Amino acid sequence: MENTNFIVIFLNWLLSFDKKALILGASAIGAGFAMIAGIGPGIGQGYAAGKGAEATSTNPKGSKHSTMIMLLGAGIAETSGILSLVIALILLFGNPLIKQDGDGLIIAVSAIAAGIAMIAGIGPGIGQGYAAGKGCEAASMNPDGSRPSTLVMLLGSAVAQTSGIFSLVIALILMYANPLVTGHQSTIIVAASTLGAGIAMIAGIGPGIGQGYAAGKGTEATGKRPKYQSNVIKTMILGQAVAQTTGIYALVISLVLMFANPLMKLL
Amino acid sequence: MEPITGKALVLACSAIGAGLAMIAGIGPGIGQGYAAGKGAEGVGRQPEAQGDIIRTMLLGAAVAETTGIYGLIIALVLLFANPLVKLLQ
Repeated sequence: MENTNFIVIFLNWLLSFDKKALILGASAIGAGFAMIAGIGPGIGQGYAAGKGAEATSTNPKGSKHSTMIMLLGAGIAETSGILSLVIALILLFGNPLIKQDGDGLIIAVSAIAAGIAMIAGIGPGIGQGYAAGKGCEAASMNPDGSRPSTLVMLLGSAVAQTSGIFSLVIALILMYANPLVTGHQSTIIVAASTLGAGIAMIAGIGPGIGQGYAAGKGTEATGKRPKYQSNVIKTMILGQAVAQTTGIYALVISLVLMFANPLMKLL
Repeated sequence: MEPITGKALVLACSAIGAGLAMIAGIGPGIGQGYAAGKGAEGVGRQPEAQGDIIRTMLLGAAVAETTGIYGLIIALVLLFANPLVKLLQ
């Protein structure tokens, strides 16, 4: 840290503050980042609302039933928005970071990284909303046989939630048990690794959208041919498992950065 | 420029956080726009069901509004009822 570039100057400026002030400021930024996840449910539930309006116009008599399925699916699509809200509220009103021992700068970065990780919630929100719209459509086309298609919608939506759950886990680790806050030799590497652990989780947007699309198409197919529900589910789950891979990669890298960081050994 | 105090840093970061939170508004905008389009399409196809269609559309759009409201609440908390400054003492 002998040389003075703008990063060193910036870090030294940050370190000139009281540790508490640094962590609280970062918590405010982290809370803001977490709320960006709200994009997802907004898009997804809007799609479901559109499908609900469409179903009401194509089958006015069955609109009560199709609207109920729409609200059920939209309720699931709300999950990621609620999770992010909870993380933001914890950062603002029950901040666990200011009580932690360790490097103030790393703890501050943990707060921001936790918020960034929650951005992944965009994915499940969009995907589950699409599934909700398709569930509503299937219910209006075939009101008597909507049970099998609704089941596929619920199952597919549950799978689409996984990447959002991964992000929640990483955010909670960062806030309550980041292993990097104590006992290290290079502040800059540890701070950047912590930030990277949060940024990696943004990948969860993809699996969330993709698996939700698969859930919607599975729901649509089951609505048309309920007899083949088990075949549809098998294919849907297989495809969703493949769509999950990049989310798993991100989770692995995030965990490696925090718990088995290879970069310190290279110093 | 005057020296920046810890309190000033927390307040400045709160302003950034409030701005970031509002990015969530992208979602409800896109989603509700789609709902409005489908509602218009439905009324065009089935004019006599206009009341029902609009009701369903608005019900769904209200659900889609929630995450935008969450973002707004967090931003307003950061600006007008900042809990972080109180933790500094």
